[in-house]
Amino acid sequence: MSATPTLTIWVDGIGRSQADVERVLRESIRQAAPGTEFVCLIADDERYGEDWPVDAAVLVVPLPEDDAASLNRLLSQTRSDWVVWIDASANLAPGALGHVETAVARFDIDLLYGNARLPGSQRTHRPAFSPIRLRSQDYFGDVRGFRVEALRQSGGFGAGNAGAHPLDLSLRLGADAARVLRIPEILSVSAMAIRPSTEQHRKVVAQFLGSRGIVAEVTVVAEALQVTYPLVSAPLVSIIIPTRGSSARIRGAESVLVVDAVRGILERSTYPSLEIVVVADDETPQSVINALVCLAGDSLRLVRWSEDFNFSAKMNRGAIFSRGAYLVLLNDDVDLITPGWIEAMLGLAKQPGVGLVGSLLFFEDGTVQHGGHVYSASWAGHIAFGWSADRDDDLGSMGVDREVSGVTAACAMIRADTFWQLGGFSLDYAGNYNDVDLSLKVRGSGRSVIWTPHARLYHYESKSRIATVEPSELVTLRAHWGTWLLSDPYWPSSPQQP
Amino acid sequence: MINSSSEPWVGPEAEIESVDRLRSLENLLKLTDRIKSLEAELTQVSTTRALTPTEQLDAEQQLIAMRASPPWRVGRVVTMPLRIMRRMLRRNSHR
Repeated sequence: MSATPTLTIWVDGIGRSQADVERVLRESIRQAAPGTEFVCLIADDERYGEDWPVDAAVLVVPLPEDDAASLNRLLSQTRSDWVVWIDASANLAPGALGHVETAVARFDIDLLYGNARLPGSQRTHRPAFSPIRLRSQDYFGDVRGFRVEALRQSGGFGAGNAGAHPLDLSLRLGADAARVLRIPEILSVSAMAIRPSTEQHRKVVAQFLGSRGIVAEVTVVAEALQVTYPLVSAPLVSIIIPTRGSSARIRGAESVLVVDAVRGILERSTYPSLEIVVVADDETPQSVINALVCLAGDSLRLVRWSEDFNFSAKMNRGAIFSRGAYLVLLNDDVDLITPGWIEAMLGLAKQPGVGLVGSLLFFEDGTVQHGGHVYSASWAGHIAFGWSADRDDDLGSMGVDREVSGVTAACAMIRADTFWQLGGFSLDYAGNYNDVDLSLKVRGSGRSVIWTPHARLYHYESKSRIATVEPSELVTLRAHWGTWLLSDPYWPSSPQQP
Repeated sequence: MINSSSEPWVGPEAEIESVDRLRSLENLLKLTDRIKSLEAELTQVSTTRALTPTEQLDAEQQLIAMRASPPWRVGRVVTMPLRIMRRMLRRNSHR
């Protein structure tokens, strides 16, 4: 890496007006260091007339419909170390190229992106690099940088990917997550935080997954992509449910929570290979046990709990009696909404590097209870807690699979061998934060925690649980994981940020 | 609605070889967790944990935000006499 890497600015003007392109180029020229190259990419049938006033040094390149060969030729000719790709529908934020120059001079990286200023002075808070999320949406924004040498080594621009080159390159260069940088500063002034996914995006994601031997179906749903991972086999999944056989009123009717949860799973889940491991306190009513046996038959593994309450210890005991290759950690006060919840979570849990998968949980009244965990200012909370079901953030986070800091153990899937390698749930957390600790152990082991909106359940938490936090649990959590709780890389809307 | 009778439930319980085997597996989980917890604590005090570039920039942003915060500024004003005095003492001791 040279001491002062040089930049070439590529302004993507395809489908944009000449005025937009001129605006971006003028700002780029104003901000760039001496020696910077400028390239303006336009459609083949576009002609900028003699009134093209920007700068004689700007190379205007008309691109044919299949533009890969032309772009690769440009790539082979550039003398610069970095390509900064700017979508001409946005504009460069003040100082943006300075931030990029500083970053590429300081870090040995291949790929970078940053935040945007939106109308009304709102700013985006893009998450740290999230490779699973990138399969569902191109969340990098309108300004991103690619190291030229890495681009060349990765094979350059792919044929037939016109309109989705930035996503294609980001997927390929993001193979080494440690070499991707999210700059916390604002790099662009954009009309929207994220552009809707298109058929071209769908195609490059499908192509990327195929090239890595990942069996997946990619579809455009609303403004994002939905990636489903068809299962070539159906490994046994053990659903561990700790219970004391409580009842509650749900939607006006009396419900024996664990019985109704198990009934819902057995009657509505589409996954064919399940066992239900119920860890029942001694005082569980006999009628509840009888109902479970009647409902689940051979699929049921009943496990006795005769000791003092400790959620973690009960879950660990359930894991000991589980025979499945994957464990679902489940509270007894849930009711599934999506019949394919196991398939959705299992498809993600099988992805390389994924350690734990969580789901979208709703309260009884339909508001969101859990959209993943957020850890910030030495505290742990739920993303989207209390949001209405149709609410979302400006990045469309509620509609895509994405990396999170942690997920609730009210419904989460983990490989059984990962659970054992990590020591399961820590007994230090009898009632609270056991899922935070497990999530951080997963991340500490180099695996990721993923949340998916495609596995949806009701969680009648307020009906069954009075949240009392033992101060000692919080003290222990901070002693173990203090620095991991300071700011959240995947939900970085910290109020300290400008 | 919890069973008020003192009799524990009866039912077809999942089997394990022995109570000792159960305790041994529970201990295995507990000890593995203890190791993971100690590793996590060690990382907290270690200066060698390699931050990714994104984490480094985030940490720097947080420092900048903290130094720009009202509590930090008030603290600087409150401790200013002490800092001036310390500087003077140092200067005198060097003469």
